Amino acid sequence: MTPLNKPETVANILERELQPTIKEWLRRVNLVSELVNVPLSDADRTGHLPKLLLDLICRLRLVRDAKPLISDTAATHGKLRFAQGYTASMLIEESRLFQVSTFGTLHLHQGELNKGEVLLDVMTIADEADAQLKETMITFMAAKVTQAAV
Amino acid sequence: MLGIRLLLVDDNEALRMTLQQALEAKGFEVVAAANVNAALRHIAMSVRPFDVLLSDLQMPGNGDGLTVVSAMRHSNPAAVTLVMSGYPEMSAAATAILLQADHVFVKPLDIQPLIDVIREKLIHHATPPTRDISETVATILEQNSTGTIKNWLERVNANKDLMQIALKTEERTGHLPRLIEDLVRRLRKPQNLENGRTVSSGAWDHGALRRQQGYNAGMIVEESRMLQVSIFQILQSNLKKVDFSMLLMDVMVVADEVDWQLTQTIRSYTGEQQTSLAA
Repeated sequence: MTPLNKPETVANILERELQPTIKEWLRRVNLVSELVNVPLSDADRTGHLPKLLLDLICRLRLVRDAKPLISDTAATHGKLRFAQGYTASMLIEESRLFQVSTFGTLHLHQGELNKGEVLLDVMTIADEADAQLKETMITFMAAKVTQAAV
Repeated sequence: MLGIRLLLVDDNEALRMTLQQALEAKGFEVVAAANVNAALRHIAMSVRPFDVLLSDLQMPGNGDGLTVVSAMRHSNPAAVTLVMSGYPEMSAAATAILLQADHVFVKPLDIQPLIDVIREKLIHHATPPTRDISETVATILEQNSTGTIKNWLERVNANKDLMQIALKTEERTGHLPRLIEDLVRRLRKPQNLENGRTVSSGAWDHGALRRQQGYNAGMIVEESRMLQVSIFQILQSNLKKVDFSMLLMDVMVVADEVDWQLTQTIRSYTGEQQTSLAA
C-alpha cells in the first residue's frame, strides 16, 4: 500500500491548472456559435480570465464567509464587452462556461480533493463567479443606457 | 474462489487479458470490460450481481474507476470494490479513493496478494455492510426542494438591494419550483453537458415578470447567485448521502443549468431573441 498523502486544496489545484482551465474555457466558447459571431482574438476573448481566476483563488484562501473580491476588472470587462458588441446574455454564457470549466478542472483532479471540503469551495466558486458577473452586468447595462441616451 | 463473480475493468488490453487468465485460473468467474461505459452496462444488465469489482482508476473517455465503484455499490452494496492505479498519481489520490473503494493497488500488481485481499474483504463483507448507500444529487435536490427555496429566501431577505422591490413570498419564489424541477430532470439525463439543455418557458416568463416587478439585470444575477449557493449548501448538509464519485460532474450540470436558465431570463428581460445556443 502506498503511503497516504494529504489532500490538495481546491485553490492549489486551480492555481496549478490555471492555463489548462483557460484553454478549456476557450474551447467551450468556440463551440457556441453566438459567441464566436463576435470576432475576437484569443487574447481579447480570454484577457479577463487570469485576473478572475486569481481573484477566485485568493477568495478560496480566505475564511469561509469572506465577501466576494470584486475587482475593477469585472467592471472594466463589462464596458469592454459592450464595446466589443456582446449582448447581456452572452456575458452570462461566458460566465456559465467559466464555472463549468472550473468545476471540470476539479472533476479531473477529484481524486486529490478532500471530500469534506470540496462542496464548501464549490459554493465559494459559484458565489465569486456570479458576484463578478453581477458587477460586469451592471457596468454593461450602464454602458448600454449611456449609448442609448447619446 | 469458485463461484465468485468478478468484474475486471482496464483499458490496457494486455493487462486485462493477463489478469483475467490469472483470476480464472484461481476459480473466479470473470467478466472483463475495456472502459467505464462497458463496465456500467455489465453492472446494469447483469442478472446475477457481481461480488467483486477490480477497476483501473484512470481510463480514457467519460468517467473513471470511481464512477464504476459508485455504480457497483448501487447495484450490490456488499460487493468488494478494488481500484488499481499507476504510481505516482496513486499516492496523491489515495486518501480520497479510500473513502469510496475498499482497497487500492499500485500497478504492477502480483496475483497472490490480490487474491489474499479479495479473500479477506469477502470474509469481512459477509457481515452486513455499514456504509451508507449514496444518493444522487438529483434525488437529494428533489427531496429538499422546499428547504432549498427556504434557504434561498433567507438569503434574499438579507439583501438590501433585492428587498427594495416589495414582493410577496410567493411572488419572489414563484419561479423556483419549476426551475428546480428542470434542474432535477436535467441531472437525470445522461451526463452530457453539450446536449442536455432545453428551452425553459418558465425562465422566459420569469424574465418578463421580473421586468414588470422593477428588477434590474444585476438583481436577477444576484438572485441566481443565491440559488446556486443555496443548492450547494443543501448538498453540503447532505454530504454523507452524496455519491462523491459523481459529485463534480453533477456540480458542473447544476452550474450549467442554473446559468442557462439565467441566460434565458436575461434574454427575456432585455428583449433579446429567444434562440437556442449551440453548446
